[in-house]
Amino acid sequence: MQQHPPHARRLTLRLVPLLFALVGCGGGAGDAPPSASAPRSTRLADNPLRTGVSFDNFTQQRVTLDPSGYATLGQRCFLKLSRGDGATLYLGEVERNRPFTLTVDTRLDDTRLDYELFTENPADPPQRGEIAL
Amino acid sequence: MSHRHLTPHVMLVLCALLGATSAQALLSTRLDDVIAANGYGDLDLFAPFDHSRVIDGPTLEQFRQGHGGSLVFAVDVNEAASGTEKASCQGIAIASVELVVTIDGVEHLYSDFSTRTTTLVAATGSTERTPHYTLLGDTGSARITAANDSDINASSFDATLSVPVDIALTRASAARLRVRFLDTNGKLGDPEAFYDYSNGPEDVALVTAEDAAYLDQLAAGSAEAPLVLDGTLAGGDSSGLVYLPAHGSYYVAAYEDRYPERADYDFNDLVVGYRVAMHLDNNGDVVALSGEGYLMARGASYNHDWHLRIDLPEGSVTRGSINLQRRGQTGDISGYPRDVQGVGAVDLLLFEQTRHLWRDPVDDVVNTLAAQGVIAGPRFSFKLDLDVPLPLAMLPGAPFDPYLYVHDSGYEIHLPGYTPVLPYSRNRLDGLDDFSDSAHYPFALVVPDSWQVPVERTDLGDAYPEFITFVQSGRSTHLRWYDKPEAQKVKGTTPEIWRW
Repeated sequence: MQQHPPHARRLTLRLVPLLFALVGCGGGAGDAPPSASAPRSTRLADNPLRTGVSFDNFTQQRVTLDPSGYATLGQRCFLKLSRGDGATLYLGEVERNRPFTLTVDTRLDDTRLDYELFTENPADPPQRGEIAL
Repeated sequence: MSHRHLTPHVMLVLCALLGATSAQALLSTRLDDVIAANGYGDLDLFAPFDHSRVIDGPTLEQFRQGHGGSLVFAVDVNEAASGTEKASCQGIAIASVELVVTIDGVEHLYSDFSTRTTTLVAATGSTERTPHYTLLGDTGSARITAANDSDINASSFDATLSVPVDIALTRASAARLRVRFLDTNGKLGDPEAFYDYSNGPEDVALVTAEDAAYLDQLAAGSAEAPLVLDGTLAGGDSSGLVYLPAHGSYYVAAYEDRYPERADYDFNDLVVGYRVAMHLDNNGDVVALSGEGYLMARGASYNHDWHLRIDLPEGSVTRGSINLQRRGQTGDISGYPRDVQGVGAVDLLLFEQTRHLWRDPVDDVVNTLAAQGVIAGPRFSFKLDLDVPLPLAMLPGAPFDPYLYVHDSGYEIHLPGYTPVLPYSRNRLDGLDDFSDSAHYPFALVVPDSWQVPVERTDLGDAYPEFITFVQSGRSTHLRWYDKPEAQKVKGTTPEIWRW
């Protein structure tokens, strides 16, 4: 399933032709509730579950970036992708003429990823933005 | 006998003899001066740390000739193991280097220099990233050089710094090296946060060509450092790193080891913090995997092996090694580093015989009793190179398959959804391949690293009252349940405590 979060689409319009696509591939939060009854206590021992419940606290996100629209003087293009709290998920060089896709692992309550494109040439202003999850 | 009584001819002969003597005994030599915690060092090259040694003009010239016209220094990178830096991977960016040599009363200044690595970082107050040479390293490792008396031997010197010098230094009467580290804009996160200087002091040594080659080959700390570019910024081995879960963060795997019996749900029988990085080439394909992890708690009398299985595609060939260390000890635990290689799925045995590997001085369990102090556990690290790069999409998703083999019961314990893999475990023999108990709770959980270990025999739901609501809601509410423990019911096992 491919999603285009509204905020990311706005960025796409503003930063044309940067393109971001985001695919949640880990199931994410919001599974069907495993039990309709209210917990008797907070102890696991008191709260048997139905089968098939997920306990995952992370979810995978597939992110695609096309940096071809980032006009630069520099020859090399670098991408930094971070969680909203600043923790780096990817840092390195990317091919500037073709889309770059990677899968990252985010926490269930992460709501956005921040990206930054930059080159080795200080005259190139970094391109920054965010991708809503 | 003073020099004024010697004829010039005798002086030359003596100098030649001294030079010959020095040539036979040229050894890498640590300097007395250091680069201070403020990121600046003004080092007297004629002042060795070991005062029984001599560094003079002829000695400097020998070093210079040994490197084909440069003076090469080793730096012991000694940064605070916090933030995105850690003991096994630390870095500093260099702002400037000046070598000032006095010959016949004239000062010669050399400000060109290089190291083996560069990066792009912004200085404090700026957001513009510019190329800077860097020094990478680690702590806790002991170098082993061919020359036993070298100051590099048994030390923790890391990276080299080279300064080209185009004149003979034999008649040098003074020589100073001035190094200034770059004050990076840490507010930007990585790479600036990584390449800051945060601790110090950093020791410096003049090194021989042999020791410099050894350190360069070792490339300490380079496996996981962010945005490591080649030394020339002219292309080459530039690449990227995918950090799982994130740079500076860990997965925490917590186990109940009484499988298949229903447990006491304290999820502290074995607790491991770990992370993995995927190394990409310029095409975005994976060329290597690296990882690191720590034993956080062992609240069991059972003995375990902890594995991390990464299900690479069939036919993938991997080669690499595993390191295992204890805090405060230099070098690896006996038997490590251990070479590993394989085809297809990688099954790394990273903590073996945990009951014997990690013991509390007093108690039978570690870091789980209410009245027990918290101690740091052993650390593994690994690096695996792929013979053929793999598209990132062909690799399995994190957190991979962190599983336990329990020696006492013979069972292996995986996250729900995984299947037994060990040919010698009882799981298949007993037809047990489901890793949920009778109440449909798992025997293994993976949580973010802010989670703290529950005290012995404390139900996870008592330690974390929001956990059950998180589960009952189908993971739609209380998503940060792991950040809200009952303080008296967990140990203070935050990452600052267990990672080193």
